[in-house]
Amino acid sequence: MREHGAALSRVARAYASAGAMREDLEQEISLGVWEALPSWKQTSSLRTFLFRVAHNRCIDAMRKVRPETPATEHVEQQATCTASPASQAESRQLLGKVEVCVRGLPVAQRQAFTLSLEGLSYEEIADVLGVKANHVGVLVFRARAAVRESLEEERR
Amino acid sequence: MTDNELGEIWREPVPEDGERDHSWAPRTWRRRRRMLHLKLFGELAGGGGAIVVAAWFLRQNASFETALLLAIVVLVVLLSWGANVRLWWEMSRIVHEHTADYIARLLAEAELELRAQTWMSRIVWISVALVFPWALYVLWSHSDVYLIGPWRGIVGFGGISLIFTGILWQLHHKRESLEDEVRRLRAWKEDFQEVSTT
Repeated sequence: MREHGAALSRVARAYASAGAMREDLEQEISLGVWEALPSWKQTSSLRTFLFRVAHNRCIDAMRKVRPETPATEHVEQQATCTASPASQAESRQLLGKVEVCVRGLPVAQRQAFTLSLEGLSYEEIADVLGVKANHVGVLVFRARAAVRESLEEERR
Repeated sequence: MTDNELGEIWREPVPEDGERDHSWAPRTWRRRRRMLHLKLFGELAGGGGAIVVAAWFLRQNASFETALLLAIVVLVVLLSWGANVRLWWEMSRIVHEHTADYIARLLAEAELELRAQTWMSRIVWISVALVFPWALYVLWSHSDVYLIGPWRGIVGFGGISLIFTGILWQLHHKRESLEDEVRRLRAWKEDFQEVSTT
């Protein structure tokens, strides 16, 4: 947890804003890792294995939360990129905006994009998600375009 | 903004990252494991106990009815144990799967549960359709008793109505949440598939 704890916390960040929900997700991820570690057979790297467990745990947790805006979640959450507290430091503010934009992405794009931000290669992301590497490229491209567009809109 | 800049922003440690305390994890895991073991032991002991009691009844009164009771008890207990074994097997399997497969499996399970829930609702509605005419018939045929003591009717029919209303209300809400879950999982699955076929 010392080595990968921060990266796994960032996985939770892609699914829940700060607060109790994110803390719950972090606990779920940690428990998932504790449960899953004995079954790791070293067929993939520990890092990709942990990310897979973390994302699956988050999906499980998201299933149990009733969405308030099921159909328009993507659009509405992207629009809220502008709603960041002005009192916070600029870098923290920017991170907050990126977080909101990432959480507004569809699940597959969100997972591929956050994994690419963690520095995983397309092959490693494909291993976590179970899609082909060139499809990971499509997912990341779409996600990046959506995030950039939202951030550009915010700047204007 | 370049990819590297975005990555740096994303990986930038926020203040609480450094201060985050994970000391609760071993305690929580031990507690969860204890609860899982208690549940497993309870279900094994409870199921075994139910079979022993049913077998004891059969020994006391060897009739077709008690044999049928024993058979039903054994079947229910075996189903319950089977469900537990399946859960444990799934728990150990899921970590090897890819996220797309995991979503597909969750969707399959949710759809199965929704189908079971739909049938359960139908069965309850059929029960309502059968019980209420019978209740009216009882009311009519024993009208003299109910006229002398109306509280019997209130307690009896009120109780039945309350039980059915409660079950139907619970089933309705469970079904709503399951439909919601299935819709969401389908969207996630499509999200993965859309890209896979691009």
